[in-house]
Formats: sequence, structure tokens, C-alpha cells
Amino acid sequence: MAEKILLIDDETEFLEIMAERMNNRGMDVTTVASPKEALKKVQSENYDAIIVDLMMPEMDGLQTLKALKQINPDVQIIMLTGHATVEKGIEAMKLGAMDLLEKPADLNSLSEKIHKAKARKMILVEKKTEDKIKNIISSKGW
Amino acid sequence: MNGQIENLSISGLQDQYAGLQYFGAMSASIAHEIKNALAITNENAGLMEDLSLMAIKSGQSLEPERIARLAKKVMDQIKRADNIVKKMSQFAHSVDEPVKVVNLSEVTELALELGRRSAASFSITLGPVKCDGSFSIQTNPFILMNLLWLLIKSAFRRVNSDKTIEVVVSKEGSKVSIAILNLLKNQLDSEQDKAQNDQIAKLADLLNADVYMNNTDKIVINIMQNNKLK
Repeated sequence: MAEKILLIDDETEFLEIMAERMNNRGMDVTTVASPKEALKKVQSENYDAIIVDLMMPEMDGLQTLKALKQINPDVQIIMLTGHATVEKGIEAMKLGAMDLLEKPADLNSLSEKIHKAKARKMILVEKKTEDKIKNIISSKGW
Repeated sequence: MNGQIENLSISGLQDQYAGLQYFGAMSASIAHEIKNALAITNENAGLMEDLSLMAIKSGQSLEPERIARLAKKVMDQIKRADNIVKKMSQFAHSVDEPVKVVNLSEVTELALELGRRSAASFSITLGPVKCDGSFSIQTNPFILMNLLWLLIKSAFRRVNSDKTIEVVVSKEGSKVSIAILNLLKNQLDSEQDKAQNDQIAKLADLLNADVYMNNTDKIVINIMQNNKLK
């Protein structure tokens, strides 16, 4: 099944081309140029990975990361950055980013990280389902 | 050795760092812009490669119009990056000489252009510099841009609902002015404002400039055109 991706970047031309290249690789990509719009999308949709630019007007990448994690703590986020400082990278990982890639990014590396993100998300979903079933079994006292 | 360490007083370091901080912040912003242009160039080239590989695989020919459009996008990004590098070069040369005769609206526009991305991160737009005529001024362009940027940053919390800051350059007699307009009347200074105001006062003093920013809906820098710097 195709990976479902949300791509967030204020550079619309970057969004367009990235989406086309990722679609060509069989991914299902949604793009948004505004972090606020991304937060709305995440409330109603489930994504295998979210790719976020670290520096955007309106709300920076770290703020977006925090807000996305608040909506869905299991969401797998890959940060993209034009000028990564070590501190920003560490902060992003501490806030729960899965990985960080520097722009211009190699699409093959990004695709690998997306596959990893999907696998991680599936493990989390399976674990949650297992916990739910255990809870139901123990509460019913069968 | 101990003497050297003692000489590194905190206020001395702060003074040294203030200019470097401005230089660093603007350089980081420029680097980000260049990286964005490179990223788009990279993806356009990557898409051309993808389309070529897909054409080889399917045995179908490439659409020449599509390739021409992608090549145009690459060229547009090269132009964009070239413009950014030109600005970076102008900015880097602003520290070549302590005193220089410069075009005031050009220096003001450069300071604004460099700060536009940073302002956008606060959802604030810096409009183009409005200027009646061309005025040259003898000054230190780097310190002037640093002062202007500190004043614009201090104006971020005072912007009107349209979130646009206007900057007007004008001349009256032998005096030139840069006015930052479309602001709300300023509130009481916070501790952060006070620290920033100290820095503003030091830079204004170095430039022999007068800064008016209190109890008003605008910020104005006045400088004598044939300025003798301290």
C-alpha cells in the first residue's frame, strides 16, 4: 500500500516538484504551504509520515512539530532544514522528530526514512491495538 | 593569562557580540534562502532525471515542452540564488571601511531585504522603501543597518492589524531621516526592551544619529548628511 505523506513547506514550487517526484515513486502525497493548514489536515487525516520544513513564516518547524505531536503523539515527523544547527537538530529530536534531513535532500534517503516512518507507525498502531484488546479482556473478566 | 580573562568583561563582550549577532543572524537567513533555491534546483534536476528514466523504461519519448519548462524553472532559481548572493556580497562589503559615502535608500532597502524572511517568521511584511529622491550620506553602513534592524525588530510588537511596516527615507535641509511607520503607540518598556534600547542608544551614538521612538506611532532616525562620526 502507498505511503500516505503530508509535506509542509512555505516554498510552493518545492512542494509541487517534490510531490510529483514522490507520486512517481508510488507515494500518496498531500502538500500544504502553511503550518496552520497542516494542523487542520492532521486532525482529520492519518499520515504515515509528515515532512516539515524547519523554518517557515507564521509558525516555525519546531512549533509545528510540537503542535502536530499534541494532536497525534504517534505521528512520525521528518524535519527538513535549510540550515541545520546541531542545537536545532537536538531540540527537534527531543520534541519527538523521527529524523532530520538537510536541504537539498536526496530523495532516495528521504524515501528510506519514509519507509522507516511507516514501519514505526505500524508497530505503534499494532501495540495500541494489542493493549486495547488486553484491556478489554481483563476488564470483562472472561 | 588571568589578566586576559579579567579583561573579558561581560559588557565588553556584549558590545563586541551585538554587531556580530546581527551579521550572524542575517548570514543565517541568507544561507537559508540559498539552500531553498538549491533545493528547488535539485528537485527540478531530479524530476528531469526521473522523467528520462521513465521514458527509457517505457520506450516512450520525452515531451520537449515539459523539459523546457523544467529547464526554465532551474534558470529562475539560479537567478534567484544569484540575486541573494549579490545582496550577501553587498552586505559583506558594508564593513570594508569605517566611513563611506552611501545612497541612503539603497542601504535602507538592503537592510530591509535581508530582514524580510525574519520578519515573515513573525507574519510581518516589510514594505519597499519609499523615498523622494536620491540622498547620499557619509556613515558606517553596517552600523546603520544594524541600528535600523534593531529598531524594526522593536517595532514588531507595535505593528498595526495589517501587519505591514512601512519605511520612508526623506531629507530636510542638511538632515536625512529614516522613518518606520504604521505602528501602534509604544507601551511601557519591558526588561528586554531596555536591554535592546541600550544597544540602540550605543549604535545611534556611534553614528551621531538621533532616534525618536517613545510616545509616538512611528520610529525616526535623524542623521546629518555630512556626518562626522566619533
